[in-house]
Amino acid sequence: MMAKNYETVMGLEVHVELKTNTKMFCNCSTAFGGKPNEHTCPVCLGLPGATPVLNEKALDLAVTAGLATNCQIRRVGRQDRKNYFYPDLAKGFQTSQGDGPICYGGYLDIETAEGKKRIRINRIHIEEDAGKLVHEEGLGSLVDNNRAGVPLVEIVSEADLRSAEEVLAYLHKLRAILTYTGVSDARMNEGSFRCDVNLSIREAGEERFGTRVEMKNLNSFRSIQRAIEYEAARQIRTVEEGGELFQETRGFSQDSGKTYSMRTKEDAADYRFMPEPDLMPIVITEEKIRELTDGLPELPDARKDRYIEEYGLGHYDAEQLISSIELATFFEAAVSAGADPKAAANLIITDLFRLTGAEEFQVDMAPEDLAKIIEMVDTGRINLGSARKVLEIMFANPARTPENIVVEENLEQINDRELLSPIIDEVLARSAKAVREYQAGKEKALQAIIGQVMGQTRGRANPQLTIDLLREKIGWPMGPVCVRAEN
Amino acid sequence: MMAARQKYAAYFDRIEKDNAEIKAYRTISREQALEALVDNKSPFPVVFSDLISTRGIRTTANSRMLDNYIPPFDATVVERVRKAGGVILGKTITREFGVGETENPYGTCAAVAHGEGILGFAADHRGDIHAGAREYGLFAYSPSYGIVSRYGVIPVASSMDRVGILAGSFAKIPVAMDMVAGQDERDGTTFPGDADFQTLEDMDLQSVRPAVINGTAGFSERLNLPMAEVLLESLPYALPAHEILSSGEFATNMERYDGIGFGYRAGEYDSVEELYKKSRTAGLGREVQKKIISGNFCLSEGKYEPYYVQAMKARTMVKEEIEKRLESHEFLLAPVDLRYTAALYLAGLPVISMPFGEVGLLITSRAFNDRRLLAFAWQIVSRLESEE
Ligand SMILES: [Zn+2]
Repeated sequence: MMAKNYETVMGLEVHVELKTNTKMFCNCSTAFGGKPNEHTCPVCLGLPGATPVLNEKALDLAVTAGLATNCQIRRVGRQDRKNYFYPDLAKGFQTSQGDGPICYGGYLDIETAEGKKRIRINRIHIEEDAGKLVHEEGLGSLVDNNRAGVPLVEIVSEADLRSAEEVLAYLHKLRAILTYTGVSDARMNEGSFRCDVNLSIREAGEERFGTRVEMKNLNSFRSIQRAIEYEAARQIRTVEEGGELFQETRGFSQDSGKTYSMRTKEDAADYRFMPEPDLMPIVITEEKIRELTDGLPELPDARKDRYIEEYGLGHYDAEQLISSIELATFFEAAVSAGADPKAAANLIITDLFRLTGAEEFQVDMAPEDLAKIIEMVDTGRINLGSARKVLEIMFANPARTPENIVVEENLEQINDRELLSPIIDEVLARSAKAVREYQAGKEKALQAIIGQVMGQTRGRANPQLTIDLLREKIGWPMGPVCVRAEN
Repeated sequence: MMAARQKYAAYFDRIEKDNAEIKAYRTISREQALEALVDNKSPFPVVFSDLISTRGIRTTANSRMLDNYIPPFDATVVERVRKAGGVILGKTITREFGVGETENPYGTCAAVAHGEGILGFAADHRGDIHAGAREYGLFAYSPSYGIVSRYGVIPVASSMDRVGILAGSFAKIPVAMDMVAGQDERDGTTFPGDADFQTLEDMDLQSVRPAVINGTAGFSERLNLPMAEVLLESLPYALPAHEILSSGEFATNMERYDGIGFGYRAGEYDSVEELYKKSRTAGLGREVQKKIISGNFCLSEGKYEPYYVQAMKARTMVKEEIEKRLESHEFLLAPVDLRYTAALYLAGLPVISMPFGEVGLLITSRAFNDRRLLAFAWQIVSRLESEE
């Protein structure tokens, strides 16, 4: 039997902590960390009678998130109580929004290797965070309410995503928008950007949705990708084997790389939503919307277009660079310090990304130093391979300068024929077999010889000069060769 | 100071002697009261019902659940009354969480009626303080919803909960209003509202065109004041709507009493689930549990539309009808009866009641028209007094 063709269908629910100084309904600090229950008061501890008062800044940030993602903004709304019992929920209900979210019907555009795609946003609503359970040996479970009452928005996409790559592109774009606009720090490692994935599969061409599984506790981009790949495969395998899929909530184990069932639909709580009587209706005036719209900075897509037009970058590269405000700022500073935009983009995307890891872009080195490295490549002082080495050293130790590294690590390119020629002779002398193979038409052999020269010079040989010399010494029957300065 | 100490010591002696009989106090705060006399230039005796949080004084909502709860903060009304010189004699008995079993539903009234010049503050969500005032021969005032802060008032039905004032004479009510009324930045549902209640304007009773609701009780004759009669057709919906909405709000307000953060916790349990169940079963009384269950029923999936949403519609209907009547008649009179007070609490309107024969007299007016309502009531009181 021919294996059927399956399509993975996904929608995301992203919880984002809003960047306010104080909590949603009280004056307690939202600072990350602190001693347990240091940032609490009668309101966020849920003591009887401690009434909430909405933090206007949280509201402004939520509306800003909506405006920056092309949403409609509800002019008169309300907040609701979502009732459930959990030890980290002091009031026994979470103040959230039921069927009247503050923002709805928006979208954002993503760019993957396959091109551009529009992902619709169903809704954005405001709600408060819960506390945290801490399990202490000998003391049992304790509650830390420092996060209780921290303002959040939940951003719910439509089920428009079809691959892990699209999901990551969506998350990066969303995170870029939120950090550019100052709505959130959106740090996954501090929990200020959390993502649940709703995933189902269906046969290609089918219009109806399959049975939906919600995946929670995905706390890094890597986990999200792995969980999606595992879960899609699991669902396909289940169906192929004639099994049945259940609507359920699943967690993801980083150790095993597998998803596991947390609860089924039958266990799902009835949240008994009701209008929050302690809070007045939310009223958003036209004036407020104008004010917040005027306050929007240059958004990621506008910046991306600028990079494509002004710097001649490709769509995909430009999308990578605008994915965080820190990164884009770093890139632009390097360019204004004189770096060639394309060279800077290449070094950042291929090397700095690898060094910083996929989760967060965080570098301490100065953008001027990146410009300096690129300049040294341009002037032939170092080759590209050495440039990477300098970058790597700078990343680990930003106090050093490129100049200092090049000198102290002896990375200067060998541009002198007289110096390079004897080294090449030496390599050729002990590579008689490779030379024969090359002269017999085997191109790969030449690469091996060049590799030997690079090895001998610790990557410092000028690649062009190396080729020129080799051509003189052993002939050049093969036409142009792709030369990479590996080390 | 010495004189004040003796005077208050005498209060407490009498209270301690009589409390078992009058069933007024849940907690008597003699020590804290004597402390409050230090550097107090204008002390006056005051009681708060046990639904109002008092810093350092046990606040139990008359429930086992909160039997050991000492709030770390004052309700805004308490803070304001203390600032004005109020000396808290104690916390008075209420229904458990405002709805349940009790040894006396009107403990605050009993305390106010028991001692000379005591001012009482009691929280309620349906106008029960007016029934109590009628029984104990007191004046009771429920200010418009939103001009007295609910911060620190143990929530029962948040959209109806109010702090009412109880006193043996009318004159104390404007004084009390000057202490407690006014916007509170800790309660987002408060508004600035009127101020300066002690200089009430004169008012010509005829020209303000008062009316009697549903032609009840022969008020025109007794007051010798010709009054129109208005019909409230939506009145039969008031109590049922009030019951459903207050139960729903009550159910969610009660979710915090889970044995985790504070309050009663069952001694033995094998799981968090069991901890919740045992703590709530043992910590809360039967009537409270029943109201929680019926509230959760009305909020549950499939029941929310036919019950809760319908009740919200009924509330709007009742409110709009009363407001319409108040457009043509600034003041409406009625006997003291839960059907009326429930309707007026649903509508958030100010209510004053006074001892007036068997039925009591209740007067209401437009929202936030508190100052003129008190001025009108004062005229009525003067008229009644001059008759006697
Ligand atoms: Zn707080």
